[in-house]
Amino acid sequence: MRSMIVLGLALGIGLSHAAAQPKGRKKDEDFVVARPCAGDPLPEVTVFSPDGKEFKTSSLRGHYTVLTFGCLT
Amino acid sequence: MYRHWKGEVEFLMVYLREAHPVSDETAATPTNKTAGILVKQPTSLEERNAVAQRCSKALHLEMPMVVDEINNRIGRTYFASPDRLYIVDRDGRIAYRGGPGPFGFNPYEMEQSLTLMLLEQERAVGKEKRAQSK
Repeated sequence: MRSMIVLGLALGIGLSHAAAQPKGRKKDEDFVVARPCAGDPLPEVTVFSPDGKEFKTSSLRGHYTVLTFGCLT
Repeated sequence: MYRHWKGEVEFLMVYLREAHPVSDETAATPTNKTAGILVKQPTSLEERNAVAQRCSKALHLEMPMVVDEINNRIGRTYFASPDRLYIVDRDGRIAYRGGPGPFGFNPYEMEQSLTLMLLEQERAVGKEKRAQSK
């Protein structure tokens, strides 16, 4: 009986912690294990330069490329 | 780093959603406030393009830049927000994936990996040439 209470309590704490996580917010471990990772083919995405030129990630072949992701703030 | 390597390696800046926008609910970070960087989260590609160009000008960026779609597709696909570094090899495969920013964003670690990759590439080319000359 006691073990069931302890189990129930642990489950409750676990669920409440999960519920307390802001919805949609990534956990730290998601960043570490998420794909793509080293060895994976580059995901195919089409983006545009600020002046409207189309750019496809599939064009990144034949040379090494450094991709720097970021923002001003 | 871009100026040093640009003859051998391609660089591309991918501009993402704002990490610390100002809004009715959120204020700028103290650093951004001091620097006068008070930016709302863009709600259109045109707005994001304008902020990206402002960023390029403010940081004197020389590398080519592209801008993520307003639905943040590339940022989500690459788990890249707020900032992250990748190296793509000649076959279009990911050769290096840096940690998530800000604390995992480490240009020196990336550069070390890049140096080793280029050295390895040189060795492989040298070996091939020697094999062909035999």
